[in-house]
Amino acid sequence: MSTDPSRFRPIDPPPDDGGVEVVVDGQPLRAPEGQTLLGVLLGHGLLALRDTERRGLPRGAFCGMGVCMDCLVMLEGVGLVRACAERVRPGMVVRTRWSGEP
Amino acid sequence: MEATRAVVVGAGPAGLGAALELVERGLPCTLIDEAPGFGGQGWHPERSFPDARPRRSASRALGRRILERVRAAGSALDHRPGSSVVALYPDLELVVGRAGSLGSLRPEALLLATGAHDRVLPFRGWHTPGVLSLGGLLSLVERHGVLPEGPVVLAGAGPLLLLAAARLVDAGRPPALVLDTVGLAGLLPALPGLLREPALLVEGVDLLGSLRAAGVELRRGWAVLEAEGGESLARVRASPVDSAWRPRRHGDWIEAGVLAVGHGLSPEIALAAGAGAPVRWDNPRGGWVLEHDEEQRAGPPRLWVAGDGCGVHGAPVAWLQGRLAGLSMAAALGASDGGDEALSARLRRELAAALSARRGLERALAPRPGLLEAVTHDTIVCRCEEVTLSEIRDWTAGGERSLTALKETTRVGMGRCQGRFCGANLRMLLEREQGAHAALDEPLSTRPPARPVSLGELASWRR
Repeated sequence: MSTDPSRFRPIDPPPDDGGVEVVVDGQPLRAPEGQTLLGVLLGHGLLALRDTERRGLPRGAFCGMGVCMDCLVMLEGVGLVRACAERVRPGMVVRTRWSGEP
Repeated sequence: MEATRAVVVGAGPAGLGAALELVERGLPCTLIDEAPGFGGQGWHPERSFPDARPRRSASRALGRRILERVRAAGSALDHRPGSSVVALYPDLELVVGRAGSLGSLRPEALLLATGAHDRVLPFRGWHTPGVLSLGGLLSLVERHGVLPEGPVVLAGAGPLLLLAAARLVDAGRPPALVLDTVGLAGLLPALPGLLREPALLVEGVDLLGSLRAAGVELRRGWAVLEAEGGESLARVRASPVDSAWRPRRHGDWIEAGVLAVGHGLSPEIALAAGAGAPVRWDNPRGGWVLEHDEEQRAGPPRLWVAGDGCGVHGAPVAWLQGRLAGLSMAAALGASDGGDEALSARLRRELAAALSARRGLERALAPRPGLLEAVTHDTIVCRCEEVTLSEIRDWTAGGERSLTALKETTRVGMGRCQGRFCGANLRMLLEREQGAHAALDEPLSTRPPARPVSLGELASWRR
C-alpha cells in the first residue's frame, strides 16, 4: 500500500474503538460506520486506486458520483466495485492497484 | 416482472416534482434512485461546518421545502433507494439492480429524470490522480467525508466553480487559487436575465463574497491547460484565455496537490435515448439534450422526461418540469384533479420565465472550442479507452465523420463510462476540425447495461 497522506484527510477522525474495520491491501484500517469506501481510502492516503489496462497509468477518483468508473477497486468475494458507490462494512477486504491480478 | 402504474427514475428535483403530483392524486408511484436518500446530486444534504457562514441559496431553500412535502407523502411514495436501472427496453421494461439482484418493472407511465453529470473539457494530464471534476470534489466533501490538503486549484466555468470554492472556505480549507475561464466582460450578456431572476444573482454575489472574505485569489479569464505528476498531481499549467477561450500564451506552472475542474454539466441521456427518445445538440445546455413537448412527453408512448436531462438549467427549472410531467402522467392514467389544467398552465408560464431568465447566463458560461487548442496530439481524449487526439486524427484523416464510426474504429466512447465524459468533447473536437455537419448531431450510441452489473446478478436473473 503506497500512501500519500498530504492530499486528503478525513473530516471526522477515525474512531479509536468502534467503527468498522476493513482490510485494504493487507492492512487493517478503522473507519466511521457508514462512510463510503472511497472516503476511507482517500482519508488513509490512497490517491491512485487502479492502473489502466491499455497504458498502465495510475488513476484515482474523478467524478465521485458513480459515473466515471475511475475508482474501481477489487472487493474480495464480489469483484470490481466503484469505491464511491460502496459503504464500508465490517470485514470488507479490498485491493487497490489490482491490475494483473488473477 | 412487476406491473406498475407510474415509475419515476431519479429522486432529484424533477423526479420528486412528478412523484409528489402523482401520489397527491392517489396514484401509486415507484421512485427509483441509486442514492440512499432524496435530492439527487444537487439537493443531497450538505455537511455542516462549525465556521461556515449561512449561504443564500434560493434553490436549496426550495429543496428543503420539497423534502418536507416528501416526508408528508410518507409511504404513499414507493421509494427504492440504492437501485440502478441497468437497462430500459423500447417496450419500457426496466431492469433494476438492487442489493445484488435484478428485477424488472413494466410501468404504464415512465418518467426519466436522470439529471446530469460533470462536463470537463480535456487537457493534457487530466487523468492524473489528484485531478477531479468540480462535482467530484464537492462530492468528496459532502458525501465521502474527506477534505483536500495542500494547495488546491479550482478551474473552469459554471456555478459549481464558485460553489466548490465556497464549500472549501466553509470547511476552513480555502483553495489556493480559483481560475474562472469566463472573463467579466463575458458575463455581461447574462445581466438582463439575472436582473429578472435576482435569486440567481444574489446567490452568485454571496458565493463571491465568501471567497473575498477568505482572501481567495480569483483570476478571471484563465484556464488550466495541463496537469503533471505521474502517481499524484504535482503542478498545473495555466494561462489567460481570450473571449473564445483560446489560450493567450504557453502559460505558467503552478504548484497543486489537488485540481478540480469543470465546464458545467452534461445531460444524462443514455436510458432515454436507448428507449428511442429524440435528442438534439445544444451546447449552452450541456451538449446532447432530450427533446420533449410542453407536457414533457419524450416521443415514445408512455415515456416522459424532465430535469437536467432535457438541458441543464438547475433545480428550480427541473422541479417545474417534473411537476408538469407528473400532471401529464396523472392525466394519462385517468387521475386528474379538476384544477389540473389551470395548474399546468401556471407552471408552464413559470417555466418559460425561468428558462428565459437563464438563457443569457447559460450562453455566457457555455464551453467554447478555443480551449481545445491546448489539447496536444498525445492528450488522452477518451479516459476509459485511453484514446489520444492523434489516434482520432489518424481516423478522421481517412474521411470518416460520424461519432459512431469513430467509436467502432478507435474504441473511443466504448469504455466503462459509456462516452459520458468524452461524447460532447469529441463532438466539439470534430466540429473544430471539420466544421459543423449533420453526422455530428448523432450522439455516441449506448448499449445496456447502463450501469455496472455483475455476472452473478445476470446469472440469477429470469426475465
